[in-house]
Amino acid sequence: MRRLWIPILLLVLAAGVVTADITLSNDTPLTFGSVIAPTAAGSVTVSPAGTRTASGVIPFGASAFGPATFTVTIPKGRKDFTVLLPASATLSDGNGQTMTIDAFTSNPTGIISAKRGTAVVTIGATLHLDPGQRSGAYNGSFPVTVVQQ
Amino acid sequence: MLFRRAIVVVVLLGLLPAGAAFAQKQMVVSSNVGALVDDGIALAKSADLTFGTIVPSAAAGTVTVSTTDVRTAGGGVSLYPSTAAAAVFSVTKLGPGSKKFTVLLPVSATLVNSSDASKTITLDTLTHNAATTNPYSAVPYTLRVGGTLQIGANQAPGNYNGVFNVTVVQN
Repeated sequence: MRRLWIPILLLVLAAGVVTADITLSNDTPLTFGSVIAPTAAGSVTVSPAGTRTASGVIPFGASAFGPATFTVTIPKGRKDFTVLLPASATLSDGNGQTMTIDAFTSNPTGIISAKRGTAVVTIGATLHLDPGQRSGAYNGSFPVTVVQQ
Repeated sequence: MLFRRAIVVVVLLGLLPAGAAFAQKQMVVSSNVGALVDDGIALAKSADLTFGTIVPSAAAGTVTVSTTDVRTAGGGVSLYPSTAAAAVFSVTKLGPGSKKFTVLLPVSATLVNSSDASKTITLDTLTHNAATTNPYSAVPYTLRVGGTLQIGANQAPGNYNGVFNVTVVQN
């Protein structure tokens, strides 16, 4: 009789550990599309709304661009959450060349409410190119944290 | 036996809030980021747009040079046998990869009489031989540009020269 209780106890503990009050999933990556390598330093910004602006570089239409989109799910409890973004992240071409992205912005901002249990958050950032940035495909990743309030 | 069971239940209840405390109040997920950097394309002129020798009259007229070097006259203008040719440019790619481009031409340009700057001829209806809709022309490409001269009535004789800009945009 005593032995029977122990597995049940462990089961309840395990259930408590894996219960998530808030979950986050990445739906689309942040993409800056194609830009012509600049002779002077330049930057490309993709806004959370999906518009692309450039300074000192020429973007062109060979590939799509857009913000990262995330779905936040809060099945129970308080539906409010905030988003934490990194200060910067690094993209690499796999051959020793890198670019920095920073100035991350989200939409919505501040304390966001996941009414009906889910909310979509889009995230943009600014990509910085060095003078004579070597051509190639640059990839990287950045972490996004959601905190239930 | 009854006593033992009671103890186990108490322990179980005591641990429940501790287990629930492990529930996640925050979560971190990474997003991929991507960007493509391209070396771009270059444009270089190898031949000028030339209309040859034109004979004006009391009536205004036009002379058109096509992208295939065909010269035609309209209105009160006649053509004197001479060389006429479209402008020729080479569009080349910088760096690896396949590239496509579109062409931007001005609406018009002005040619000025080399001995009297007050005498001018308007060049307009500039045309080129690259694709204007998708699928666009691929680089490398030999770009040819033609146009039409608007010759006035009794246009003053002389050599007329001018400049127009051609822009290629990588797509």
